[in-house]
Amino acid sequence: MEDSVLTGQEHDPDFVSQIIRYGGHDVQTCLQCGNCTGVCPVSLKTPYKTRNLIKLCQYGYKKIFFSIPWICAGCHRCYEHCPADIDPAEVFVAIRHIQVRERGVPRWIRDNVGLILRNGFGAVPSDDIRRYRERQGLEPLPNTLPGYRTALEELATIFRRTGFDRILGLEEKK
Amino acid sequence: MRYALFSGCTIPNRFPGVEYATREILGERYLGAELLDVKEFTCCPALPTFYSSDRFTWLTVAARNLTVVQDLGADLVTICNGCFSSLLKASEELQNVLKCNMVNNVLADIGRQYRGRLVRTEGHRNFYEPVRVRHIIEVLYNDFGRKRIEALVRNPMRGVRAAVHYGCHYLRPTIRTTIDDPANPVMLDELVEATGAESVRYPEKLACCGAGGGVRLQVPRLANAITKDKLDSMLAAGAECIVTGCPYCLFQFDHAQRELRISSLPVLHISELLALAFGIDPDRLGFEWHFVTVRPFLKRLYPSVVEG
Ligand code: SF4
Ligand code: SF4
Repeated sequence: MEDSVLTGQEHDPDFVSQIIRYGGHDVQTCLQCGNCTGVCPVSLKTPYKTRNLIKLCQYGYKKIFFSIPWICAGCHRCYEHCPADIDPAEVFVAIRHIQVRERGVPRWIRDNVGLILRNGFGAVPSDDIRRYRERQGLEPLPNTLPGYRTALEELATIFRRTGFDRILGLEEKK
Repeated sequence: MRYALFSGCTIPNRFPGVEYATREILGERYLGAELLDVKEFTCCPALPTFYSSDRFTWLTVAARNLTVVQDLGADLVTICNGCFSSLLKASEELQNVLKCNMVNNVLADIGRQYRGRLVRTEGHRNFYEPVRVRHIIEVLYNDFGRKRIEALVRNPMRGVRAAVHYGCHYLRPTIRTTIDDPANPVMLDELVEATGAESVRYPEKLACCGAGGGVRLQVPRLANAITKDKLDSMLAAGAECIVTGCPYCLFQFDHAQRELRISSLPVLHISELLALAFGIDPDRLGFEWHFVTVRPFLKRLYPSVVEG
């Protein structure tokens, strides 16, 4: 990012309103004070500075975001220090919504959601852990019981009704 | 006290000892709470995956979890900052009638409806309140209090210097309910001190562990670099263990220390620390699934109990 010159060609005049539509804040009110960069753990360690990213939003440089990994940790320190009451973390969430719809979903998201669709949870116990749980008299994990099928079917219905399976491209994979 | 325990994904599957410790300390043998067994929960769902890709699906799945507890007459208690943040945020967003109706429209297809918890009835009118989503730290602090916890300590942790890590989603964003002072939180410190240990002051106390938001999954080096700053600050303050209320932060501190090879501070969930202080046998607490060994720490505390 740092060695490419922006020509204005990439400018998307609709980007700011698109961000708002997907639940982000209005970045036009950003004063470019830099408080967010100052407290951001990711800005400290990478070339991606929160204030600059918000500036890129203001100018509608949407495509740039599609090549940046999703590295906002969602720690919300930026929001706590923003005089304009913007939560950059929510702005980045909105941009992820746009990316998922225009460029597809990152693999790790699809894998994680697939696991949840099959198990109800994002992790399954190893045999060791199963044995430990039994030994300690911990309740069996609900998703190992037969009645749990209903919960899984309910999840699948929700995904179908909200269009989540289509957004993630889960349906084609079946 | 009646609680519906929401254990989440990470704890039952990766750190089952934390679930055991939580059930023990809250249960009849110690604090005397009634824990309801709920079998229909699913993933909270995880914010980095669901909230990032479709807010409405996130809200609907979270609302489904809340409908499971709304008629039980119990608060929902989480033992993970991620579950806490996701479900609390959902419970608050569902107070928006428009959003709630949209969600209920979908939930109707699975025979559910989110109303919240019934508080009273007047004639034909029912009054509801949002399902209360709580965090174990705040439950221990507010519902039981430091005094009662102190009174249960059998193995005082005298002389132990602990670095307390609250974790981002316990404290922020303050746009939602705050349960502790976000700039100067005290609850976890006080619980740690109730065991007789000392909570050390260190400058990076409110900073992120590094793993949140899917950072660990995508750029582990970045996650570890953020963790390193925090570890350096803890080490400079002379900490000899880390105490947190979040299994994902626990996981990150554990893994990062193994990968960075700069330190080996044992990382404990607050439930584990209290279980040890209450005198629960350390061998039953599942410490074998921590990556940084807890043995030397335990050995120092209980020279007679722990071997090897
Ligand atoms: S803190 Fe707020 S106003 Fe200041 S640069 Fe960041 S987003 Fe803009
Ligand atoms: S929420 Fe994201 S942008 Fe804001 S300070 Fe944390 S990592 Fe940086």
